[in-house]
Amino acid sequence: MTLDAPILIEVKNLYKKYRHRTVPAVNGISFHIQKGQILGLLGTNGAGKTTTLSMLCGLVEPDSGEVLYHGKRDMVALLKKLGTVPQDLALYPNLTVAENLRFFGCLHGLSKGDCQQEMDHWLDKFDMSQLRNARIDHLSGGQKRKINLAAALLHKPEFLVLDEPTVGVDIHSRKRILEILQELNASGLTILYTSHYLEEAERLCHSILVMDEGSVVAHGSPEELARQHNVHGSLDDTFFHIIQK
Amino acid sequence: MIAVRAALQKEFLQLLRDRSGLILLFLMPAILVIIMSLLQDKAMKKLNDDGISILVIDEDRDSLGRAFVEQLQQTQMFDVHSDSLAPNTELSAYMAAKGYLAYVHIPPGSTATVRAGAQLLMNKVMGSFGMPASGDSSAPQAKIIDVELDPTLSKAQSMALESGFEKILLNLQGQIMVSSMMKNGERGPSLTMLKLQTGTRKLTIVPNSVQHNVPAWTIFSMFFIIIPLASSMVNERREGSLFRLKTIQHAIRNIMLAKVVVYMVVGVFQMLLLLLIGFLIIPLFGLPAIQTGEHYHLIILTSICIAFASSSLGLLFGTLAKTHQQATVGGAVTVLFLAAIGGVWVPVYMMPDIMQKISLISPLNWGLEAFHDLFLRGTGFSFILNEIGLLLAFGSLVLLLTIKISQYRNTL
Repeated sequence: MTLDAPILIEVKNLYKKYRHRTVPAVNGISFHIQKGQILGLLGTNGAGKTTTLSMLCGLVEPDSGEVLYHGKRDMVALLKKLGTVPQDLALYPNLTVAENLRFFGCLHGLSKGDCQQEMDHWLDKFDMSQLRNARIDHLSGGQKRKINLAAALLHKPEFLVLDEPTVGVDIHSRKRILEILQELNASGLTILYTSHYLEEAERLCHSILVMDEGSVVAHGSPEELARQHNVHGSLDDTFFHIIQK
Repeated sequence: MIAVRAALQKEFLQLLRDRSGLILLFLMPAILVIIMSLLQDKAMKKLNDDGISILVIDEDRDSLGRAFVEQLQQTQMFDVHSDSLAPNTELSAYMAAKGYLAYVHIPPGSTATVRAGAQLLMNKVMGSFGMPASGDSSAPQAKIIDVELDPTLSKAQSMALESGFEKILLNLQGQIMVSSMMKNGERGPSLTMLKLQTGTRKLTIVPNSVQHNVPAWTIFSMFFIIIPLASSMVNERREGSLFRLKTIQHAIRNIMLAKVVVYMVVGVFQMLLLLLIGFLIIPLFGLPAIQTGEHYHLIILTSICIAFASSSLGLLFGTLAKTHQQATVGGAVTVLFLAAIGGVWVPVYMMPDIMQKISLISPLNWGLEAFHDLFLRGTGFSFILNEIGLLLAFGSLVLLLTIKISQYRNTL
């Protein structure tokens, strides 16, 4: 990613307060994601990460503020080019790997042929070709996570949103998933990524956005954040320093 | 189109691999139909198959008495006997000894009483036009008919009998009066030519346990699809699929459409399976085979409408329920409640008046009425239009409500 890369997603004063809560879940946050960037969204539980992701993906209506895609308020265009990897396994356990991928590919409007081609490509990439006819509920945690990711990539998205994609994944599978994400990013895919594994974020993300109680409390590259907060150590140390403040 | 096909394929595959769901949808109603038909056979036989033994003493020996006996026999629900009673016969003991469940006494002069009533009415009408009245203008006081029912009959059975007699009698009274008034004008048919006129909705097949239970439990099972349908939606939400689906354009619409279509197909298959059981299996237990009339296309149409109403209700439950328990318990209780008031367990005609009125609000009752129209009365499209219209309207309203609730939840 270059510093002068165009802005792909711009979030302006996004605000959301759920009716049964006394404090807002997201309190007027603003940030942008450049094309080809990997932005890490970090925060403790209840910091507002999931609500922010939900508003970015059009699942939750913001009370105020806006999400711009290529400078325009065009959620329909954004959704066409959006790939999502939810925290939960967004797959059907009693269907096979191929049936799941074919279903999500076709929902994205891929033809049968294109769907098959993309499916073969991603199964090969994740070393899972031999498991195409295995049911999801017969796979290991790591294998399920890989298919969860593959399902979001079939339609060649421009912007990928990942909500803790490596939860419950063994070290080998996690390493492979991160390698794939780096490869995808190298080919131009823009990624918004949340995780509780801070070393993953440090390794993967160009920029980190730390949220606390619905607000953005820090934003910058891991090195910038460490420098801004005068922390000498890993992202873990910087994160806890920021949150404790 | 690709997306809709993919959604349909996914729903079918999921359903086929859900063994407990399939058991709930097909095996449970199959067993229920057989058991309930056997259980209720004796009770309904008492009212129907054997014909209720009735002792009719016709001392009128005129138009009313003859026509009344004739109409009782035509309904095929009564086994009419006209014994000659000795002067000092103790009626209750005689009825019990002979197994008669009802005693109908048509006293001498009943027809004359009705005719006098007609004359009175005619005089009043003519008087209002300033014309001279003819004949006796005093109101008739005599009873037209006496009915005594066996005390062992249940309240529902007594009510059904009384209501049956009342209908026949009112019909005859009306015809005798009209005929009598026309005769005064020296035209029209004579009283001896009276015939039963019950219209095109008359029963052509005697309702029995099979005729009631097969359609009733078919509709019940068609509404039971609420449970697997709502559960599949809760699963999608719990497993995170809904999150991904919501980010794919039109995916939710396609999935909802696919669910409705798949469960409508399931509903039609349930109906076909249970009718086959009614044709082939139930006779093996010594019960009569179901008779469905000849309007097979209307039976399919009715099934589609019932399945549409039930799948819409399933979508609503799937949208409202947050847990499996809510979906299964809530769905089951609702269907049981609607079935109870809709006449699935106990036929509507056996219910007290108030419950008969309440039954009209149950979509299961609309479906059952439509099947009864087709199976028992052999009627055509125009007679089931009201019921299938109600089912379609109900399904559409519930679907609209589901969409509104989904949209509202996104704004919370």
